[in-house]
Amino acid sequence: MTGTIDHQTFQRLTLIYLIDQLPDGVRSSFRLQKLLYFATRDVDPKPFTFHLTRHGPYSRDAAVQLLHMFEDELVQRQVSSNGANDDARWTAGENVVWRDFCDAFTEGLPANAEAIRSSVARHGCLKRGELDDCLRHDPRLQGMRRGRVLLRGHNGSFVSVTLDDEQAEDLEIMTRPELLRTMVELNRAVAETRFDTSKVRRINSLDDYFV
Amino acid sequence: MTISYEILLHGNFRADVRKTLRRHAMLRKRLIVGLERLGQGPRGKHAPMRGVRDPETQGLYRRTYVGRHRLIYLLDEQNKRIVPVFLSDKPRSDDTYVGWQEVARQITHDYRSSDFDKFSIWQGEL
Repeated sequence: MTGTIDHQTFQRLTLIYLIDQLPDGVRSSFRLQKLLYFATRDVDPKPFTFHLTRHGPYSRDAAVQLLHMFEDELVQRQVSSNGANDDARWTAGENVVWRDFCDAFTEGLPANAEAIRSSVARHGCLKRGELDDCLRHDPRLQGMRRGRVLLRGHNGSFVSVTLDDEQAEDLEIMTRPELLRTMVELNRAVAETRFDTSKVRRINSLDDYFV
Repeated sequence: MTISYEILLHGNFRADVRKTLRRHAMLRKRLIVGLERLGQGPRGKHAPMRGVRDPETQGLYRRTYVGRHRLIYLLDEQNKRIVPVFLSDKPRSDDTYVGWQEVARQITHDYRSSDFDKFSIWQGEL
């Protein structure tokens, strides 16, 4: 049973699964980037490309994807009272079938799920200084100059998963709230509007219709 | 006993499908047979899409295959109508979802604004 999911769904599921592994969500966007780096550095396919910056490993793709997920209400960002951006807490969005995403990720990409689980168990509860210590000892960072690529994300448009194609499509739909809202709105329009068939052209043959 | 459904085709769905089927007479025939069968009522194998889970909408969107083409349709049980929304043989990607969303939006808009002349109805022989 092998299907494919598109790259965007792969990235979104990775972020969702990572945030889900931390009971109180992830505090600070920089911390999220570091945890994401540790969680994905040793698996293939890798969801994000990481560069080395002065704040440590940073993925612009992940930051952009997270922002889109925030706009789509898949994740929530609670900014602290002092308004500091690096103190924002990332948690699950309301009204999201979070558990379904995580179950599908575990089933479809077991190696990636296991890597995230074990990495979060090792690094998730570390304090900021301890996490930075782990980074300093990371062999990939040794001798690396700022701006260089640390990890290169998966290059293709699709990622193989151990789900059938219909499950994969359902998963892609679930990670696109705007499409879902459009479909719900269409259903409402059909249910609430009285359709006047007198205005409609009746056709006798579908054959003629599609020619 | 067979329950007969009307197939409600929106102009935009037609335009989209015609682009796909222009060069494939055989496929067009298969699509027509597929739609005719739909008119006799959705079969059990057309499982409700699990991805669309809104409580009001759950179970109403279904997926079937015409050859390699995925056909997504909405079941209007109350009026015994089927509204095809999306047909594609392309690998799923953002582009296909954007196309799908665009047709769904247009159908919604024309329903809401009572532009029913944008639709055509086909009902097969009972």
